[in-house]
Amino acid sequence: MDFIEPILSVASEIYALVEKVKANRKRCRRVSDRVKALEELVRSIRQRKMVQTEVEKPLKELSITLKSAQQLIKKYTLANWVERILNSSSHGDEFSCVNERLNDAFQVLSGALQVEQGNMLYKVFELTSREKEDEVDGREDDTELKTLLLEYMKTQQERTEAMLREFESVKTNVNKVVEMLNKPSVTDEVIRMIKSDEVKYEHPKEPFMKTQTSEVYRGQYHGFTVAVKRYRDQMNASAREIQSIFKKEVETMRRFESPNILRMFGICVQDEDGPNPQFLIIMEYCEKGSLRQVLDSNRKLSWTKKARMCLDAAQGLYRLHQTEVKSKVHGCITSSKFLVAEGYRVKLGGFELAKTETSLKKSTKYKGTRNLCYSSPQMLNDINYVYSKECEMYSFGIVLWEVATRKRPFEGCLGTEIYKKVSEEKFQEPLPDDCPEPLGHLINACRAYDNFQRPSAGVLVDKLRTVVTQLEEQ
Amino acid sequence: MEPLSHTTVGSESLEDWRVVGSGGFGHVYKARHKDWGFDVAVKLLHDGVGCQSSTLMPNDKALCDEIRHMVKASCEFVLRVYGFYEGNTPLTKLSMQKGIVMEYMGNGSVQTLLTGLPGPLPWPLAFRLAHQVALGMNFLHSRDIMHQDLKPSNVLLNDDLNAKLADFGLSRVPTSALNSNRELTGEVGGTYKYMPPEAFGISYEPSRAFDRYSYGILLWSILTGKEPYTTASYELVALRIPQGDRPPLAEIKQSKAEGLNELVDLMKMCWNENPSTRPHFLDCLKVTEKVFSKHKKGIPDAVHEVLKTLESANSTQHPSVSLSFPPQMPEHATSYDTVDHVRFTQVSDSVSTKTMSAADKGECV
Repeated sequence: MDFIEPILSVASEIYALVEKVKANRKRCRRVSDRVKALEELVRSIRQRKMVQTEVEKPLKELSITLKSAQQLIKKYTLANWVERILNSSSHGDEFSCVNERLNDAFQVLSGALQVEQGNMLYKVFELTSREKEDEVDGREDDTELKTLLLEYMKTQQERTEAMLREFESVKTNVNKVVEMLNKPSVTDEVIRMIKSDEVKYEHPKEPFMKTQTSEVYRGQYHGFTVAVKRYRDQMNASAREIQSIFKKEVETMRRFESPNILRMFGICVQDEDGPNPQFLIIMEYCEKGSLRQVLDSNRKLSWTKKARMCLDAAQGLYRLHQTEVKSKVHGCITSSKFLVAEGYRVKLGGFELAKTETSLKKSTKYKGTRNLCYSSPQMLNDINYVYSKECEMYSFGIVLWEVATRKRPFEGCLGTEIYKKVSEEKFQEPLPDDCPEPLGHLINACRAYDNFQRPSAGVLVDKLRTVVTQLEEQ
Repeated sequence: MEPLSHTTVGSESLEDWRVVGSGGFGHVYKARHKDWGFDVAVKLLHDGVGCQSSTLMPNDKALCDEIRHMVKASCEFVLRVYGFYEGNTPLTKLSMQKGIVMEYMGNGSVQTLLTGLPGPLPWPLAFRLAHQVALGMNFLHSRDIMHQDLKPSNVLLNDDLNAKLADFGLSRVPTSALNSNRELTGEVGGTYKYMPPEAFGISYEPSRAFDRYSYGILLWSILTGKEPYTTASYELVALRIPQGDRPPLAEIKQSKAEGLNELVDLMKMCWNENPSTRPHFLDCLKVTEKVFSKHKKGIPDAVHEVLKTLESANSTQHPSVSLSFPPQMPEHATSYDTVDHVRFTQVSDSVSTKTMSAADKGECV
């Protein structure tokens, strides 16, 4: 078995690294525990001399996951870990994604080995306990991190006067991170019906966005800045019907909670029993607007930042494609469907509470041209081609290309021209010369002509994380 | 013109209003006529569209034209019109609105069947629908009216699941507020999937061959119980249909029913690339009549079975809302955001349920 040796060696490197980490100790230790459980599975696969083909793919993927987990843990063993935390605004989320990937591997491998449910190994990956463990780990690590950061600030402060100016910026950054760590997590809020006095609007009460059917305001809800979408026209269904649609949809939304998926807080009914009830949808506010708007702006984006944005976006997609219960496709991945929050955190939106929303809307005209530039070669070739995750990965590849180039895909091309280029000539729009090679390689893989050459969202997340870690080191 | 079209129904004679559908033009309500003792459908223009004095005239004309069309086409297979509506509605509280009072169809449309039933229709019912649509279309064409928007949601169903055509001939009224220009209707409500290849061209002049093509695609939907090209956007359809793509035939070819092959042949002739070779509806109905006659005996059972299934689906309101992903599928944007002109189905929930499961199936492969 050619895949097993490298897995075992990365695993033992991980164990060694965990001993040396300086922050996020609990989280790293938990990752290492889970890797140990997986190692046992891998060893028994070797003992039983299982047919290679059966477990080849999960083992390959596991090896990628482990390598990227190793990179992640290594980050916290290096001397400059504080600077790296301060420079990246994401924190902690990366662990949840690694843990999920490890769980994916565990489910597949234990299935192949027909490990019994009651087995000790299962306990390590049991969903309820896993979530609780991760939460506790996270909280303890964050508390420790706060102390460490403040200590770090103190030692920095004690350094020479000459460093004072630099220190000021460190201080604001430290404060920012500490503030972030203190903030209640968005996911602590349950999606629910919201009373209208819970939402506070900004003054003057002016919408920051208008569409044909709605106006979007900025407001405050339970300490979060939120976007409040208000429908201008009366709705299609009765208030009771809307509430029942909403309740069922919330169940689905819960399964897709993630820092990289636009958060919904709920809906709010005003004047419920009146002649003209009004419905509001309350969702997470993303200060920088859509990914497309950010790319069109003059903001400076370094390659590290771009790669991080790619990773965020991929994590959002991964959450959809690979949830424990059932995976889903988004169906309409474009650069406008991703939103950019504070600290350039990218979130996937555009599907939340879709049914509730539809029942609120009176009617909509067809929204602009849905460009063919996101359609995979397979779709462009056959109207009856069944949309799949691979198609979606192609669309996502185009979005990644947009992040890299900041250009609009196939600008000025007609549908027939796009078809000719993509389907007949197997053409890919070029990446800029200074694009880091591993990143460019991944973007091209997502845009590959053949379905099977495109990576799964899980593998993409693993590889992008490695790319980001490497870029951060430079 | 028949005197019926001059009948005006005022708000004082209607009660129990309920929104049953909406579209780019405004809303369709169901209401009970106090004097007549039965339900009617009332189609009203958008708020603000119908009551501005500056636009009053064209709207009046549009309403008149639509009523005139319906009167001219009146027959057993076309939706019946009762007259004008004038007055306010208790739901919007607007002082004056104008609209059309029509027959209320209790079982929605063929679209309701496509989305509400787990599988294809029982053969007898499918063949009767195919025949009744052909009869209605033939009558329309004989009266010199083109439909231009023949699709499942415009084939309405009465209590016994008999079909009647609705929303036809509107594109011949280009200034109509009820229905905007062809380009728009092409994109709204999934209409584009029923548009012939030549209609995607820039300088297209509508002809009867348009309706014949739409009938071919509609036949496919009726026989398979599916929406064609579920995930395709307008742009994709506009690209592929002129290149020769059509709905797949593999599944139908595996099915067996007497006369099915004749209908498949008819369907292929109807969606032929060359408009001039598409058969006239008089020829179509000869085929559909023959096929239907062989299955007539099965009608009572088939109708009963379908009504029972629809009823049980309605009693468990919003059956699979929990599967609401992926809401932004291209066909969602068109199939339920833009509800068709007359739709008596319950809001739009069931529509998305079906598209959903199709998408699910697709991505589980």
